[in-house]
Amino acid sequence: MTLHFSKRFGKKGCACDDRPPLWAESLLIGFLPPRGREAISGDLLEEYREERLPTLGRMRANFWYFRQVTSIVSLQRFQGGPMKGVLLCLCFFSLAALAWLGIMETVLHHPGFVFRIAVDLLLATQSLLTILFLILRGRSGMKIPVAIGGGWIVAFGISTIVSILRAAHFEGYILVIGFALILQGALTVFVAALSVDRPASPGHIDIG
Amino acid sequence: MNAYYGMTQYIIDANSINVYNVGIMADILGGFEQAVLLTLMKLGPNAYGRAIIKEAAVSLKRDVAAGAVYATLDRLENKGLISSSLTSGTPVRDGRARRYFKLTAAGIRALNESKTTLENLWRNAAWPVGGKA
Repeated sequence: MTLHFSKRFGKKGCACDDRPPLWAESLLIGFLPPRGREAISGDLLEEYREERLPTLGRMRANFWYFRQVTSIVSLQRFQGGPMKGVLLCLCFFSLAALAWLGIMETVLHHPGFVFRIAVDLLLATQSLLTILFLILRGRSGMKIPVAIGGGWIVAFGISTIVSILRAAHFEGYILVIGFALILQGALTVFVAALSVDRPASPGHIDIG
Repeated sequence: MNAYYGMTQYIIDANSINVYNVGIMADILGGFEQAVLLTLMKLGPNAYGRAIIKEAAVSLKRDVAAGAVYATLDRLENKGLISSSLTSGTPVRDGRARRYFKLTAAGIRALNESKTTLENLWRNAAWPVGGKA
């Protein structure tokens, strides 16, 4: 189910005075799976307009709205929201790009190729770890290593872009890979930070 | 005391009066799931997301995170304990649809079983629980 523009931003297509912050609403809609998108965002909008804004005032009502978005995003993130798909695509793109770079390094044997292949392997390992984390839905205590790895990928992506902009020969594909790594790392940190540690079987009651 | 019969583990209480099947107990509804199901029962045909959150907060006498309620509703629907349907939206929601929830027969049965099981569990226990931790 897609939210139409007029439903998201009002009939005039603008952010009106009795609306929650546009960025928070976009974050909510972006993270929700299609099935719950319209009903959940509608529930929050209704509560915001009828209850929170008149009683709390704009600033506190906006804070309330953001708190609700955070609680919904953190619990619904793995239930088919588009961000999971985006992060998975970025991980697979990184794996493909790193495999290609690794093959090129092995064939061309430029000075320092062993070090660069080792870095490629580390990045690929982190991408695989993130994919595993998404598949396991945040279980198995992987949260901290995944978040640290995501931070490292962001730093590596930034340093790659800086170095390519300073280099004598501009190579556009490295710039694209660098931006993809920054986005992948940032999303990984965000997803890991919002994940809730869950037991292996939510319905299990330990009575032994 | 634990006992096994075939692949099934049973717990037999101290007086050998009650026998609990662990496989069934693992399916007992959680406290919050019960609260949500009871809220649905109370609200009847008016049970949609916002109303459920407000009513659950009143019943539990504390703030309830919207995310927790929606995740629980999803889980209960996946278990077949509740069903939902969309209706048309209202102007205050910018026309966005409301999703109304209702208990299924399995949901009513699960609520009854949960209450019976918990009552059985507590039947022979002293209340309030004392002793050293």
